[in-house]
Amino acid sequence: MTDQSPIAPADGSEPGPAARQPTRSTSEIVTRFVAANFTDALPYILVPVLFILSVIFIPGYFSKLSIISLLILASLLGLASLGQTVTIIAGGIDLSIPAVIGLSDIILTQLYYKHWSLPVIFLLIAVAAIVIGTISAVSSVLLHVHSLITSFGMSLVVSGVALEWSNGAVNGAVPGWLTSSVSAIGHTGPIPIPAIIFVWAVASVLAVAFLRLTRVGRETYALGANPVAARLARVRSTWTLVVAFAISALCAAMVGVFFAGYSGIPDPTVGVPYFFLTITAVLIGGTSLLGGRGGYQRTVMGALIVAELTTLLVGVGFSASFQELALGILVIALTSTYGRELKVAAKI
Amino acid sequence: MSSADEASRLVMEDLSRSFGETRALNAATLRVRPSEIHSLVGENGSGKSTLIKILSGVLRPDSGTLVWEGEARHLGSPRSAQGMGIATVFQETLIVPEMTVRDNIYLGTDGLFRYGHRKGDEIAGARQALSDLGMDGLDLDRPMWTLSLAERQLTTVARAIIRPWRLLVLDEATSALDAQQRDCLFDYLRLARSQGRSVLFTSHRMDEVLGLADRITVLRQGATVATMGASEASRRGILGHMSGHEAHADAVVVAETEPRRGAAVQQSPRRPVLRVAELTLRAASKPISVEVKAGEILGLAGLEGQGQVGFVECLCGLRRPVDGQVLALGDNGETHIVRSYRGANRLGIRYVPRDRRYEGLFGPLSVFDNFAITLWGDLNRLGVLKRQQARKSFAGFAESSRLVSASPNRAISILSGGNQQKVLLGRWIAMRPRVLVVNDPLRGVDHNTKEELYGLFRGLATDGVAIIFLSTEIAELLTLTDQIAVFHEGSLVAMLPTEMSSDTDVVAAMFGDDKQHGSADD
Amino acid sequence: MTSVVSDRARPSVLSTPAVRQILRRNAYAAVPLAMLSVLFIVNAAVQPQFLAQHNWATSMSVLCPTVLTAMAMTLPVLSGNGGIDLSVGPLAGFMTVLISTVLVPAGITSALTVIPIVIVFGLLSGAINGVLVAYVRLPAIIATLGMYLFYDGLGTEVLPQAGGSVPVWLVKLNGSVGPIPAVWIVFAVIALVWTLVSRGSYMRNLLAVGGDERTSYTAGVNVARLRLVTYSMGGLLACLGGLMLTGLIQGGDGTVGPPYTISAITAVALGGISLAGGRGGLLGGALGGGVLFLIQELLTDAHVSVYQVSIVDGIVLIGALALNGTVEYLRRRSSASKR
Repeated sequence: MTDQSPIAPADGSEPGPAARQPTRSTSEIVTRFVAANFTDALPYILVPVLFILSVIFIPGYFSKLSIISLLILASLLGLASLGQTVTIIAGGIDLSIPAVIGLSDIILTQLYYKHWSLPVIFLLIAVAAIVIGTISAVSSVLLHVHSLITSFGMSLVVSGVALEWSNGAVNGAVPGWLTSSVSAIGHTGPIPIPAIIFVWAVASVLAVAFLRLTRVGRETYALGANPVAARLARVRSTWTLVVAFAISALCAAMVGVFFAGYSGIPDPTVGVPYFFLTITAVLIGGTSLLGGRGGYQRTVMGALIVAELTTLLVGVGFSASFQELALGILVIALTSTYGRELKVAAKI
Repeated sequence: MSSADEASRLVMEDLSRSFGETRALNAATLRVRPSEIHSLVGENGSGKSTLIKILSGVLRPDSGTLVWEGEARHLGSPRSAQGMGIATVFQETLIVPEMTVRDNIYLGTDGLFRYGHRKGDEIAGARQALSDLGMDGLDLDRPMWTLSLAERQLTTVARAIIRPWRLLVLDEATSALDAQQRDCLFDYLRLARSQGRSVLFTSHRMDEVLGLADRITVLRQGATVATMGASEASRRGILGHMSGHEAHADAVVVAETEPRRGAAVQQSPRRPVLRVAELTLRAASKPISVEVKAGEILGLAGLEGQGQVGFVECLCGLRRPVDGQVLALGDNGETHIVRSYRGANRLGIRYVPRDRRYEGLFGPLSVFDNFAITLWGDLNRLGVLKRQQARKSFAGFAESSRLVSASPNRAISILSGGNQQKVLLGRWIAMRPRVLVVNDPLRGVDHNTKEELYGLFRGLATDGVAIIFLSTEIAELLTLTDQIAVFHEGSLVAMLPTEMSSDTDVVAAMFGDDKQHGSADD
Repeated sequence: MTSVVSDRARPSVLSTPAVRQILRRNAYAAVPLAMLSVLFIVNAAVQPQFLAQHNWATSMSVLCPTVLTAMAMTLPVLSGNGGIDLSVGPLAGFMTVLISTVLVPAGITSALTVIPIVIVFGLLSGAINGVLVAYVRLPAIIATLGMYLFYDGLGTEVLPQAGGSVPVWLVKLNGSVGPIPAVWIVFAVIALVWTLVSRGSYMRNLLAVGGDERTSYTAGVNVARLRLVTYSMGGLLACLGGLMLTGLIQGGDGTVGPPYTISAITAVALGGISLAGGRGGLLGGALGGGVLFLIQELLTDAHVSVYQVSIVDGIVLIGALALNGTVEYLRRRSSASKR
């Protein structure tokens, strides 16, 4: 799916003396202005704008409860999209996130119900996630096939396993503190904010640091930008991709655990809406599907935007179906402003 | 219109084009006459490529006029340019690898659903075109990916000439061809000229420009600085126009007649760092045994496809030879066999790939990231990067290579080709190689940058780095290297000491003893 | 060491240029064809009733939307540059909603009116995708993702569960005409139209654009227009699949669409088509759909649970890609060694 990144034509022109902007058609001028000034900033602008719109259109929105509910929604999506960001920067994409969410939901609810110890359950979930992510990544490398497909294949396998395991099961249990961590009225110690929001905040900082300051992080960008050059430049291609997908699976597993806390009952399909929502959050944030560019701070904005949009639409009375419809239009509209690809002519 | 214009088939006047802040063309002009072979020369950054892209319909100028055969025209797309009789062969060899030779040649001649020519006509036309270019007998149904680089390039030329053209634009179209193929192409061009058609070509090779052109237009920094007839032109004069310094032109000439490197440098005998033992590249080739010492610059030459690239790949572990070994020799005399790319790197053998766009550049990343990517393996503490050190390393390199760059955090795509190449070289040089293997590193790099990089290489050699330098330009090899290894059909046929060899000696060796050698392929 | 002079000694009769060209053009379909044959035999062996005539019509009508949506996915994939059409499933699902809850209640029930409406709708919705991809230049996965969400949302908004009514002729189209399943007629018509199309230069242009769009552009192909046409045709095929699906489920249902996107991707991979574009053909999409169908039949016969089917689907997908990808890799490797 990802082509060789269309490197802007290095036609050898030395950065010469700044010239007067040549005359162009009006539409070009507008597009350039928007692109130059708004492209990067748009996601950051949309977050407060949407918030204000929500306050206007939804009575009672400006309350602690609503805001926290919004943040919980954003945290869940943001965490699920964390790994997706990394895999997309690496030039791949992870379609197994909803399946892993469902599986970890099942594992937790079922095993906790059977009185397994919590640390063991978490360990099992983590190991399962790492294995799943590793298979997606390694099979992509070995089979010379885009990770979109291998992760998709894994998602079929994993969701099948989750469904099979939970077949007919209606009983499940989760620890109380977990439920509290995703509840709008939950507390983290003395602070009246549910734990998931803190978890997201910490994870965000770690993610941004990871991508900027670690070797694997830089190699992820290189891998996404130009896999051939990466291999020659001694980037550990396979390892980097494995790390990306392992992170993605772990984040998905974490979200599955939180979802279990949310509902308390085993639901292997709980992650299904996230099939495309994580990609949406990443894209709306402005990270390019081409790989090699972007960052998690953008996805944070993207998750907030998607959460706000969903809340706004529900608050104004639109059904889930309508939200989906609107989301579709929005994805197209937003990406048209800052996600456009180069013309063929420009790639020559 | 002036009488000069009236005589011209093509007049491009006051052409300007910018990319963001960069002004690629600044009121450039070009006039091409009927029955003329016209050469367009200029360094990278002079606007040549932009002008050609405008002429071929790929780009539109911001301002200026284009008059074709007496009428002012706008070229909206490559298709419309072709419709007017302008056929272009681009610098990059553009092919569809999966499709056949015939399909590649006739690509674009059809409507969306209807063929432009009958199949029989396509076959005849393709055969004729290939024959004109000296490639008789090439199977039209072969998939393009099975062809050598030279055959591919000639196929793109064939694609251009099967259309009824009156102006043929060739942008560095001979870069992959060997001398014989080039001569065949030039014969075709001269024949076309005698039929009244026009040719516009660009080349970095002065001998081609002086040997083929009737008139020459020189571009510098986007503007036309000179137009001259070939009889008035001299190498020195052209270079002078290109760089804008008369003195520089002198220096260039002097550099080329300077005593070769080998004679000038006096050094204590250095120990060998690399040994090639009975290396066989292909089934039918003779084993190669060579030793390279520290501080030595070994040049590799040969016609296209004769094995020097394969040799280079064996040296750096990217390819396994049919037989034989590459050995890295340590300071204490110990030997290590090169078994893989990773292994070669561990032994201090660094490889700079040929194609920077596909094998070197990380387009969206910054200049600094492109430089430092190889360093992170060593400059990290438990995975966390030691950025300060890397930045120092970059600053040091930028200075020593006179890298022109705004800020290291900007995208590398804004740099000129020459500066990009510097960054990519820096990536490997910063790793302190014992052996540096470079695959035609200065191809497509402008003259000034080349001189700077020659200095860089010489400096490295003085520091004790062994350099294996593959180049397609003989003059470059003669200036820079101590010895030149010439390849022919996968074997090493000559080892020429540079200070005692001339251009002709190298070319003679490149052709081997086999006088009936056809177009170079493997 | 390939020589420039072509080999003149070619013994086999099969090597006449015309036959060779047909073989080469369809060489990619060899593996899926083999898989199809093997699966067919296995299915017949495991479940003899599979071959029984009265089952043909049912099998075919279940198969039909799968194959049509797979073919709808094939064309955008072939056009390269990350080409894909995620909206094929929801679009087909929306067709069921459109017919059963909009057209029929409005009295538009005749085949002569419904079919053209479906065709036009298909072309238009495909054209929207095409404009977004070729002219607005959104990455195909984003543009079609947006349309996926749009049609899925719209479909489930109008008809969140099965309902509506269907014209009789549409149900009959899923039955038999004498001994022959009527679906075969549909396939025959499509095959005929496609044969006419592929006699022209469209396929050459499509494979060229998918293979290397820059080369195609500079050679004079109108790349954007070709992609627009390609996505339009894909939309058409998807809506035809939706039409047949309506007859199959005998009603409308906004939720039946999405699984067809997933099966279409799998079918394309199984069909020997290069996901990067430039290699393959419509036949591959059809064969891949057939292979997928037979796999599912086999699993049903083996009384495998629905969830286990999912697991097997995943493994099959990865396996198919293994084959697909390895073949391409090996070929590229052998070309690189000629230097």
